[in-house]
Amino acid sequence: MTSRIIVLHQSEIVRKGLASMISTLWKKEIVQISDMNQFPDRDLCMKCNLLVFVETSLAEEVLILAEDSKVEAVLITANNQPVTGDLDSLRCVNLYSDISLLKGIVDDFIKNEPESTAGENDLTQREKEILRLVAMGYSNKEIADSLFISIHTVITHRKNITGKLGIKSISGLTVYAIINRLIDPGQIDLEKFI
Amino acid sequence: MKLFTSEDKLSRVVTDNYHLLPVINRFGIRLGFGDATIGEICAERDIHVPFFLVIINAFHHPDYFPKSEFLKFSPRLIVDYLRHTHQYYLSWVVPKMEKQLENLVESSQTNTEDLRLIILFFRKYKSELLYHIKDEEDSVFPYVLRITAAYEDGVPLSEEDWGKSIETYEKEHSDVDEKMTDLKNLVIKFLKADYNDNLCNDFLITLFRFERDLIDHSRIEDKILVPMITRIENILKNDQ
Repeated sequence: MTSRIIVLHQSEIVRKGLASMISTLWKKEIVQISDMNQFPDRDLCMKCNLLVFVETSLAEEVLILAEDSKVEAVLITANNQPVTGDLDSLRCVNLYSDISLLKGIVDDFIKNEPESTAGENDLTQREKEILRLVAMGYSNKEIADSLFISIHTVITHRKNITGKLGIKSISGLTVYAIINRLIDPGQIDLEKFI
Repeated sequence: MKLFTSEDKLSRVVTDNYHLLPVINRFGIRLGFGDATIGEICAERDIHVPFFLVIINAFHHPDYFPKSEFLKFSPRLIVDYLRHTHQYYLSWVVPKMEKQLENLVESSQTNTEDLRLIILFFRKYKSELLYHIKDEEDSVFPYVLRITAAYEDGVPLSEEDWGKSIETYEKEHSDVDEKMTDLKNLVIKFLKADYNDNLCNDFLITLFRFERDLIDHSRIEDKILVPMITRIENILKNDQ
């Protein structure tokens, strides 16, 4: 089952700001959308683990669409906005609140990611993370340093990734990472990495 | 394992394994040979029969490993054959694959970005392959020919060549092979199938056939050419 983090807000500043904070902290790709038309349909909601940061005015619609699914909605509130009704039970991040609150919410979500249910040939979250860095041209040492793990562990992960995908070359892994949306081709110089 | 012999009709060889068609073309043999046998056709075209048999049998039987007594022909023949093989790759197979990939991209409605990445990857593979071929043409083959001339014609070897051995020349094929496998897996397992299926199949069939041809090419180098040159190097060194 795939998991995704979505930021749903009309303000581009809020979307980009939140997404940038989350992706810096967890190296995860964040889906940014401005209205419900771009929101995943019900089928996908049932199939995915979604963590949705949503502005208060759109939260009701998300809850309806996400009923009985594994979608967790988190309200994005401003200082003086009252929260009422069904929304009362949801967790909130306030635009002025401390980052630790945001960190706690995302940490919980990542901890519950269904790594153990990954199929034999599916990459685990950790492997995806490493693949992403490999595809962006980082050396084993740089990857080890940025994830606080040993080079030996990085090499073991890389062997497992290659074993599962059947792709060995770095440029092949880069192509895989792009077509599986693990990295954004805009982030790298394609001519150099492929 | 039933090996082809000089009494076999060449038409039977082709019907047994049509993948051998480009192989026999590399000897300058073209279709329309009626019921002539391998021996007759080779005699007519001045082709060295034992060498021809080693090449077609090595291609037809992936486990065939000719013993040294069957290797009584000049390394010049092998170099000549391998050069023809390179020419076939450069002038026909590689451009064909590239064209097929371009057609595949054109057939896609929505996934052209991913397909373009595959083309980019293919071009990377192509440049490595061309580099490998150029290295063989520019350095390995000339060395083989100099060693052969020293052995067969008594042409003295240069100081520099005395210090060398074919083992150090023959670079690993692994990087090029690795990318070929990656390319196959990317298309078969991971690319979203938003394209014309028949065009994709055409591309993959070309790729599979090329892979097989390359394996044969490497085996001829590693199992026949290299041991042959190593043996000559040892003889030359002992005679020194």
